[in-house]
Amino acid sequence: MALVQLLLDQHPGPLPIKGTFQCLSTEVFDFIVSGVSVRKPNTALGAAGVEISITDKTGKEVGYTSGTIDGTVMGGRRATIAQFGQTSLNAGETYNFEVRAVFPECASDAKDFYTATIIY
Amino acid sequence: MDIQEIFSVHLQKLPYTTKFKLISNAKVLLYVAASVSARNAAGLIGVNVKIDGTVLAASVVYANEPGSSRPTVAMLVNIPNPTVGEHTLTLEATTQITMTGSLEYACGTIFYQGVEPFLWRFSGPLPKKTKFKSPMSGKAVLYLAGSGYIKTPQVCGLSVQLDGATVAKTQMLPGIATSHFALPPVFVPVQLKPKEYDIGITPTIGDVLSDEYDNYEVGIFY
Repeated sequence: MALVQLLLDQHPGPLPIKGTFQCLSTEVFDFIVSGVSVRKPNTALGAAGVEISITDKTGKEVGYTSGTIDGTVMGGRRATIAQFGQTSLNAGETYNFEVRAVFPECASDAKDFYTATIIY
Repeated sequence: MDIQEIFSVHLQKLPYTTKFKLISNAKVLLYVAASVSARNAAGLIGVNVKIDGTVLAASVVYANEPGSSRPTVAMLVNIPNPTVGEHTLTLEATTQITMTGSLEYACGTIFYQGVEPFLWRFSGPLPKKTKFKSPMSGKAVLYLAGSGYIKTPQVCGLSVQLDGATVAKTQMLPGIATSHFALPPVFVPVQLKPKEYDIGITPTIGDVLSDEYDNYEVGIFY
């Protein structure tokens, strides 16, 4: 059976969203954050996106992945093309995570929803 | 679970081809997500996923606004008869109006499986139901992806039910009325028993519309 851990389950914005989790295994695991993104009005054309950063108790980043999309305001929010990230941590230890916009030009609010999952 | 990231690219042109190596003869489930635009007309856009020259599936979405980028409905694909060693993955345009650009993206991930996954892919309209037989008890990963449209933009989405109980949901606020949109795909844990389940997919609110141009995918893997 799968060893799977849900960090965020349709958690509403705005970003950033911070939390902690206890790592369940010393094995390499994959993680993903899915949601929507769009650039703020009156910003230059470009990408938008959502990223997740995992840090240890010292604040060192030990895991990262993101999802990006064309952030053009016309058309509104779009689901990001979310890619899995991969890392390995210490079982039983508590780690911090932060889900945030990839670029400062990205908008988010309470009508945006984010899901973050670890698959061991 | 053995998982392998095989590509992540700015999808600046199609076809896109990359090589990857399978590291096991286990069953292989391929996750592909992509975004594309419609060239000059409304219609279906997307990418065909080819492995070693054979089209296995198409990840598509209906684009109402030409020139506007759209994520396609991300998908899980079974790679038939996987063998250890090097293979070729190609993404090619599903339709003539499909185009790419500097702000289009695609990525792919492989999940190695000891047990045959459950994959349920179909077109709208919703709701839909079918049967799913779990071969074991414990936790599995449930995957949900799909598209729809709505007359008046408001928060809306899709949910999956097992024996009537909601076990997965994806939601967003679409930007344009009566314009098809792909919802964010989600991977969530689900607790199973070794039995047959009724599995269904429904809109989260009654105003979500879907038609034959909307595609859905529900997967359960272990």
